[in-house]
Amino acid sequence: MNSAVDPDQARTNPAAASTTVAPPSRSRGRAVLDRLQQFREGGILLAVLVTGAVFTAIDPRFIAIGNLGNIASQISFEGVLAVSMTFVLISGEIDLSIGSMVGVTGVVFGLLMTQGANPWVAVVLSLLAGCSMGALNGVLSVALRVPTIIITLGMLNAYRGFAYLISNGYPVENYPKTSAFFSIGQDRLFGVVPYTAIILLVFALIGAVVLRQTVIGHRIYAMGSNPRAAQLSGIRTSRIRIGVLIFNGFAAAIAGLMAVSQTATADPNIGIGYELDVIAAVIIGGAKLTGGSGTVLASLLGMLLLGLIRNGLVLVGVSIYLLIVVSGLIVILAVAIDRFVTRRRQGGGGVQAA
Amino acid sequence: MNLQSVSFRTAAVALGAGLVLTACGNSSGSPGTSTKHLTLALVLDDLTNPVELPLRKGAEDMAAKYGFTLKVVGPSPSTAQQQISLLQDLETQKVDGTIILPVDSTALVPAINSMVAAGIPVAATEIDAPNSNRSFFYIGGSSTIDQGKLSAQRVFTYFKAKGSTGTINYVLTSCLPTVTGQQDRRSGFEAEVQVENATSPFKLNQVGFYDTSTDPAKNFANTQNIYTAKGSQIQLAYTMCGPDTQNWGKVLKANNNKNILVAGYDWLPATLDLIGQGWVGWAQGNSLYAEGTYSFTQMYNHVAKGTALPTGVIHGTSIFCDINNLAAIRNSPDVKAAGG
Repeated sequence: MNSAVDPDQARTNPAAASTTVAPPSRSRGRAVLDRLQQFREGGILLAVLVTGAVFTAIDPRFIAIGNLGNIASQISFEGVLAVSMTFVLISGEIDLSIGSMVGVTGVVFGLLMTQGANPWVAVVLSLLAGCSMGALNGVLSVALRVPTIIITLGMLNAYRGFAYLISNGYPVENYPKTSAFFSIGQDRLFGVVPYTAIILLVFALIGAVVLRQTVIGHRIYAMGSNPRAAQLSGIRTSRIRIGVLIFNGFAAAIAGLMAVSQTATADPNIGIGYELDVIAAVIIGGAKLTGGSGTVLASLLGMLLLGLIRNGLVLVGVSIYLLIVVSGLIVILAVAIDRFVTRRRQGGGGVQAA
Repeated sequence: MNLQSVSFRTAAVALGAGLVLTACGNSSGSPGTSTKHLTLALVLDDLTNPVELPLRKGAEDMAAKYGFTLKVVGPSPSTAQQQISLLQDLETQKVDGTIILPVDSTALVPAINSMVAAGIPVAATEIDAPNSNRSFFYIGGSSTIDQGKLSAQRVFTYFKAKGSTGTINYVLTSCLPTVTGQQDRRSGFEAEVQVENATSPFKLNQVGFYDTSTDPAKNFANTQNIYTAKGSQIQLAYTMCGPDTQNWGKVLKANNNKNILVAGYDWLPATLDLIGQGWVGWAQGNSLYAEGTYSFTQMYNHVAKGTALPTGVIHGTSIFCDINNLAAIRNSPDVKAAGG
């Protein structure tokens, strides 16, 4: 049996990381890079810093407080989804229906509001709706023994269609918008920090603690690393699968509510294409589609990188069609930087435990 | 033998025979004398575009008035390929008539012609497919190219009244930059700007063209980014989509900036609020409700009564909603249909 640990996995799997030996010291010229290498999310952090530095050099307004606040606000919806999708991908599953669940929960909230519901009651019921959709994904996958990629591919359309069905295809907006709920998406703490960004940070912190410090988190890693071994060791993988998908539905509801809070409109179109953005962010952060690898912080950095690129390319005046091309290429470049740093760690003395 | 089952079978056979006879009668009768229940289709270019709600409402009101079944379909996201598939499905279903708002004036031509060849009359509204065999094109306002020209003329009138000179920078935004109607508005606007620039004491200068996305949250985010990038340089935002117009108003309001004129489109309820508050200069609109009522009245009269369909292009004049006519616009069926 080969007991060596995959260095890429060791970077993002706390259990695996504990078996690596620290690399030897480097020359002073490499100090900064070495420090980044020792940091598990160093590669993606370097990509974020390089991207930010390039855009700032081209246009100093990029680094202005107001613009950074905009970026924070803009990534907050999908950032929440990236946190939960990290759980899903680490467990070896995938959820393609997340954007559609965002749409359904937003519409559910809007319809409840038009019926005169208290906004906070509507929030709770929308969160329950999100959890229910996630649970349905999980139960169908387990009961039918069909991979989640197939179930959620079907549900991507089913949930979006359901959003159109219950809204009759119309944006739902004929309700009072005076509640404090709408301030969350539209206002900023001290006029600087968007409340949606604060929600994202709190959500990410809780997610990171659960993933790294709890038994549940370690079981999710174990299941993603080797589902068969996890099953044999007594881990109920079906429960974990359903659990992470419920969590994903919950996050979708939070994102949907944040979007409605910001736009004041429950549009059934909200969330179209989010699944690809979110999965891209998590993969950029170093998670693997095969499971067992990834961290919440890395996924957030991945989402931040996408947000920086979208914002920066507009600021530097890239044409709308070239923007699509460049944003795709920058994502590949970012992943290449991340993998380069990882390989340096591996080649620079990341001695594997025997 | 069970008497009940005999009765049931007899009734079933009678019912089946009746249905066959009814179907035969319909298929052999002329359109004008048919008594069968009619199904008319409305094919939108985007199933959930809020701007098109009045069109749907107009069609729904006509369905209720005349008693035909209305089938509303549309692609989401808005692509010509999806819309072609929808037309093919409707042809297979043998609907009695179709009103279409094409995603692409050219790409939809073969599918429209196929439908017409199959004996299903087709008319276009809001966006034309002039090279197709559609019977008529009705727009409850100016043509989309003229909409752009009218906007440019109004912009020049506005800045001339302010006594402007020198260069006036502007950005142009679209939530669907590859859709024909948006391209028409852009080309109409840019062509008229060239004409007006030749004699105007100031020159309009485009400093950016942006895709803002149809997703409401992304549209807002993109508008924020464009404002950050160009807000300090521009005096005009020519916003070709309803959501763009609304979000430009919101962003200017958030930044307390009244130095930029938002020359936009569509009478979304929130846009009208922003016009009232002075954050949006104006929003050009067509009566999409009239497009629904007119098109479906013509189509119903044709398939139910044999009345000849109009041919060619039929249109009115677009209306600019601004602070002066805001109250009247709010009371229009178009705005009420959109929840205003």
